[in-house]
Amino acid sequence: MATELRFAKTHEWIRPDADGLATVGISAYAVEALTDLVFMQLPEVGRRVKAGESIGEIESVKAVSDFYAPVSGEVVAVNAALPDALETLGHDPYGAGWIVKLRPDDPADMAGLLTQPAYDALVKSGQH
Amino acid sequence: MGRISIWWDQAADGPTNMAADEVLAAEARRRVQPLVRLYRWDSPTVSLGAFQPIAEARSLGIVPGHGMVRRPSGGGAIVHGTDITYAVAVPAGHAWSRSPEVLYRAVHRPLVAELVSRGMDARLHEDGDAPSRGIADAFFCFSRRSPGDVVVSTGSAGDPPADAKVLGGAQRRQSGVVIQHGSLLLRSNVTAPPAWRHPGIGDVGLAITDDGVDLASAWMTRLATALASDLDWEAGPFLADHGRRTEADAALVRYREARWCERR
Repeated sequence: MATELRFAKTHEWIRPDADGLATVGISAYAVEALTDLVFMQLPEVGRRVKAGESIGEIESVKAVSDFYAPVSGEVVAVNAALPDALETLGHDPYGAGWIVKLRPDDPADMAGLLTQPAYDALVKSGQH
Repeated sequence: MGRISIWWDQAADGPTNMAADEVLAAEARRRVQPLVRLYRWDSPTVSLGAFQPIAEARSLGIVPGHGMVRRPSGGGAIVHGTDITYAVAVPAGHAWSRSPEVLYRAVHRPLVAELVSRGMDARLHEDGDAPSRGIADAFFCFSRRSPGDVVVSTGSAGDPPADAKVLGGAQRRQSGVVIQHGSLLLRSNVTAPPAWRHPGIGDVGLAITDDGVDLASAWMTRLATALASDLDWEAGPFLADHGRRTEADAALVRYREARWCERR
């Protein structure tokens, strides 16, 4: 797993890109927990979001789940192909299964999120 | 010992019921305990799942603004009017919030136990979704079968299958809380078009009161026992509280908007 990934307690990951943007997706654990995905709604490009704000929804056979902005910023791109290829989330959640690209208001906010070992510990604890 | 609080709420229209459930979720977060609201609908209403296409609803004669509301939870459409609807809100960190399956089973298994104690051949459905045979079959919750649904044997063989689904559910999982909707179908809704009808628990051999209150009360008692929790029957309508009413009023606007009802 790439060490530059950071995680929100709500199971989103975020990775800083070289161009000052950040890529966001949902963790392999979350994808596996959702099971049998059937629909996804992405945010609009250009939308301003606050950390912790719902930016989209994923429907599986048995539940609709929100996903959240890990940091505040502007949505500058979405993975428009993803809703028609939801299996990509399961196959490659940290690569081709990316969901949005954000321009963070303050890139330093990412440092306040969980590291991979801390996120793994959270999942293992069941307190999420 | 934990607590679980339950409101037997008054009948309301679709948007009010959805707004009340949204506030129930917020209240569960504040109290950090599971909360339940049991309720009916003040007029026949079809509730759509969060992302069911409006075009499919229209093709079946379901029209926004005329006894239709869209739930925040997923799943298929439910024809309300001869059912008891429940909303269970569970805060994050609670054992029931761990996965969709855990919560379905936790809430539905006590009903199975109650039905079995009354002589019914009831069980949780364990297999995947049953194949759909047409748009109406795919569209309505009670035509589908998912793990955690409550099914009872009707004693007849053939096609349609001998099992009848009498309780189904759908969830919305948000940061800090999970809300699960469910519908216990008491009887087939004979006022609905034939394609929308499904047999209820009173149609497949169980003697129940017209309102189903005795069955639902026994179910909730078993639910609290399973959770090893004290059961608090809360007095008065859930939205009688001024603060909760104010919260619901804000949500009510959204559930009445075409933008929500026709979001897909």
